[in-house]
Amino acid sequence: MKTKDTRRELEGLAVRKAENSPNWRVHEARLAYLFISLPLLLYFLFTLYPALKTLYVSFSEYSVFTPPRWIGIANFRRLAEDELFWLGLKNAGLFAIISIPLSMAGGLAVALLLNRALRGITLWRSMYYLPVITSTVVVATVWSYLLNGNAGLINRVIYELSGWQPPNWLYDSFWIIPSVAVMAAWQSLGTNMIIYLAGLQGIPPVLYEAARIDGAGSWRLFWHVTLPSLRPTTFFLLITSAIGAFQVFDLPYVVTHSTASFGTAGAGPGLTSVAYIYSTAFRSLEMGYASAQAFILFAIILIISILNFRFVKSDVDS
Amino acid sequence: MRGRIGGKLLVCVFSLILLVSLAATAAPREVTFWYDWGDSFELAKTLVAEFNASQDEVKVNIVFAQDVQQKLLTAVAGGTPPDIVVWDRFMTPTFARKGAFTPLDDFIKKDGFDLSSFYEAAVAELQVDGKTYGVPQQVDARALFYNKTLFKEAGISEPPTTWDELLEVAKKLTVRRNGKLEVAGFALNDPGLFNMWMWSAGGDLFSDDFTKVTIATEPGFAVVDFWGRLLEAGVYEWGFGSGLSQQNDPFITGKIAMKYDGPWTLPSLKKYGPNLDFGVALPVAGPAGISSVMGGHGLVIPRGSKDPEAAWEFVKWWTSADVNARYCKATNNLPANKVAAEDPYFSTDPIFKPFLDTMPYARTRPATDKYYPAESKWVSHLIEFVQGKKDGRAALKDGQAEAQKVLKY
Repeated sequence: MKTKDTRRELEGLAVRKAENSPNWRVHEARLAYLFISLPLLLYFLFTLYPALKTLYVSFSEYSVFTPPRWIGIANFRRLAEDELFWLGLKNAGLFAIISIPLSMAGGLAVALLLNRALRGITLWRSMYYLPVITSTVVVATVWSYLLNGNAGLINRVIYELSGWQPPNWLYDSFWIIPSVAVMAAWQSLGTNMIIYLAGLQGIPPVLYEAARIDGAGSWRLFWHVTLPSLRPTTFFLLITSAIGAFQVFDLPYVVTHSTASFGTAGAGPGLTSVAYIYSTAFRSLEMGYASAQAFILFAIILIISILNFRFVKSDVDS
Repeated sequence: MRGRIGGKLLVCVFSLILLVSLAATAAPREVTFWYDWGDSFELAKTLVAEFNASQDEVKVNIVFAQDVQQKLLTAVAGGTPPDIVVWDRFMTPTFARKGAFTPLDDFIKKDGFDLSSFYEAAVAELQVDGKTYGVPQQVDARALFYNKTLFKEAGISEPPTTWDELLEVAKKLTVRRNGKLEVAGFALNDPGLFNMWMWSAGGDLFSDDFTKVTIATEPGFAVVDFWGRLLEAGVYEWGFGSGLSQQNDPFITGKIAMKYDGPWTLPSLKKYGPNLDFGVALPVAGPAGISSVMGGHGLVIPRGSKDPEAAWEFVKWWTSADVNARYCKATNNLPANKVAAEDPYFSTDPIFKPFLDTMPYARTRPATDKYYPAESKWVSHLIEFVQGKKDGRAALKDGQAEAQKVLKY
């Protein structure tokens, strides 16, 4: 027994010694660089380079078929007075404000419900996660049918029950974005649920025990133990959801395009920033102008992320 | 010994090279053809096979390609464009002016190719700054679709021919129950059709030199005033019946009695509404007469095609009267080739005939690369108007101001 321990100790010493030797260090560093070189290369090639290129193109007139022509800040001056660009931003912002709280609160609520050792609980978890892995086009199509103003189930039920005719959600310029935000919240709820579930299971049970001994009821347990312990999770979700919300494209795009005829397609009240960038780039073939819009959107997302870091992160650290 | 084997080897290699090069010269020149309609791809494949079998100079490889505009950008930028593309014509000014296509004028001149056998407006839509970039394949135009059963029930015998008649007939066809719209007399569901309404009111969207947007003018006001009368009479509500397709299509289910639409809906009407009794009539005449907006596809040769000459051979064959007629019959389209359109299959058909009759009145979208961005501006204001959230004339004024900004850049 004794000899075995000493041996292990000696082995440990040897390893530590080797780790500290300059040769080992160099070797380790090389290995590390080797491992990160591929992702780094991909990052430079497919993220950083295109991003810088976008910045360059945003100062030019560029149609892909002919080389970019430098035009200074004309694109930025143009977007300052472009109504549809502002409509897109406003819609993306509204979408974020509605969909993020809904899907985060919903995700947390479901995670709390599913955080118990019941029989068949994994089945329930999978069911709540199902919308996440469902194709957005399918989600958009099914919801469009549900929310259809004339034949949709939702309006039909409301009308039969109350005699009140609800608005035609997807055709009313006031309701289109809130409707799409609800769809998106429903779809992303599963993601938030899974992450919250992981967070919940990371909370040490001793905290609950201690609080219970102090006489805390279930509401106070939630408010003073669960919620504070989940702060890092909440922060992570908030920041990724905010970034995602401003970049939202597929859901509103599919909903508005399935409801619009050709002429109304690029201009509907459900236009979001990325949808407008897309139509500017690929419909009007104005890559420079589209890049300028993309860059402003990038700046806005950056600012929101920084604000998030400053106000929420400091909370997490404390 | 060594030398002899080496010599034999050399002979072998040389003869092999010779053989390969001979084979290469004898092999047909291969070109790639991008076709983007899923439901008629098999038919197109059969036709291409027929072309390939008919001669041994050119071999066409047909490829199914959706989102052609976007893919073409990538392909041209990457230096591997296809040689022939089925192209939605109205985007020609945008792409041609930016150098996406090969001009075909030299081929046309050399072969004495007769462009006049195609509908003039369709050809014009493929011409930019005096150059021709493609040959039209099929044409379409908006015409008035009407439900004959609902007409009979309302005691109306003939489709309307003027704005005023349209309003009267639409009112008679509209059904409301407890104030709730049940049957819309006339679907005012596409503000993008403002263009043809504007033309039929005697106006135009741009000044002739494309320096000014001219929608907030008397003819434009006449259009929105008339739309206002339709909406006030309650013959339609924005979003009514929209978002429903196939067997739920509101025109098939009798929820919409009249609408403007194009021939591309015919296959779907046939498939999902076998019992639907409907007719097609000329668009109604505005103060300045009948007008319609023409669209359709054509074949273009992208810039950077490795063998535009071979591609041109196929373009000629594909758009020839016989092939064009067969293709259009099978796909339920109107041929762009006028000789093909004279085929009794089209000219005596009660549904196709009104479309053919509309053709002389049909105009193509303005030939400017600013059309799409400018139109999105005024359409977004018109959508507010038809929802009843904005005054019609104000919508035109604001839409014009916004669209005018697009022309600056």
